[in-house]
Amino acid sequence: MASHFWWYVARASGLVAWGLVVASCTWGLLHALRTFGRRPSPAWMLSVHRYLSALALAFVAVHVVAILADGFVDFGVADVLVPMVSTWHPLAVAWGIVGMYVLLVVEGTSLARHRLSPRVWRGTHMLSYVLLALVTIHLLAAGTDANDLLPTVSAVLIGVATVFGCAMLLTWRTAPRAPRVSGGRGLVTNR
Amino acid sequence: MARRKLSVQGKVAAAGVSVAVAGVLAGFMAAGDHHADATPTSSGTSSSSSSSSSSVLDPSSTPSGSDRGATPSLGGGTSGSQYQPQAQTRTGGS
Repeated sequence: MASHFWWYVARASGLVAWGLVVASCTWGLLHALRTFGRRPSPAWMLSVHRYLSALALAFVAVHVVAILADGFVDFGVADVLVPMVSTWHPLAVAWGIVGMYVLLVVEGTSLARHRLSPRVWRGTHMLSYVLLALVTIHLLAAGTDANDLLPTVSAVLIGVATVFGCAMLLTWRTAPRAPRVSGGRGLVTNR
Repeated sequence: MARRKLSVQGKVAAAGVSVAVAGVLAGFMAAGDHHADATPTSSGTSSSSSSSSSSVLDPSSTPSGSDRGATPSLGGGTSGSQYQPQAQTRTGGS
């Protein structure tokens, strides 16, 4: 156990980082679609979304540091920063490296959102979907736990649930609703 | 009044849950240690430090020894059965 400590830390932190990316993307969708209306408040939803993203970034940092510290699989700095340099499954590792950079870009542009035009920020933020795909491919291709049935099935189920849930939410949000009696913006008012 | 931001307690709880999940995952991985030992060996690029654990899966003597042990038992039986049909053929032919 002690000899493979960093190897376990790398794998566990990678799995948790992937889960946090999925959670952050899902939460961001819920926030963008105004799924819950005003309770909880959109500001609180946005705060949770940002914190999940920050946690994901932190666990990615732990993942990279643990891989560098681990002696079980010999990774150098260039192996974890430059795609296709690693001799250990170079393509599978490259998915994760590119995903890490995409995550940094999405996080950085979100922090500097007030300095960017809405169009630029929105276009950059759409890379989150690419990020989700990249880290999922990295999990399934490079993750040594992908051979286990549970993570693979979980990844597929979460992906299906996310896509299906988003489609359902989008349908629900765009569906025509009954006019409000005293909404002010409704078609029918009592006044 | 609706909350405007995630509270500090909420942040601590989320971080704690994440770390706890990572710890549980690492514990499960340690329990199934053979998965961790097997994967780096398959790449053939693992460092020499892993040779002690990978030697279980990538020895040059054990599989060939077992193959040699398996082949004679089959080959010996086959060769033995090859001689007997010849003898029977000869017997039947004569």
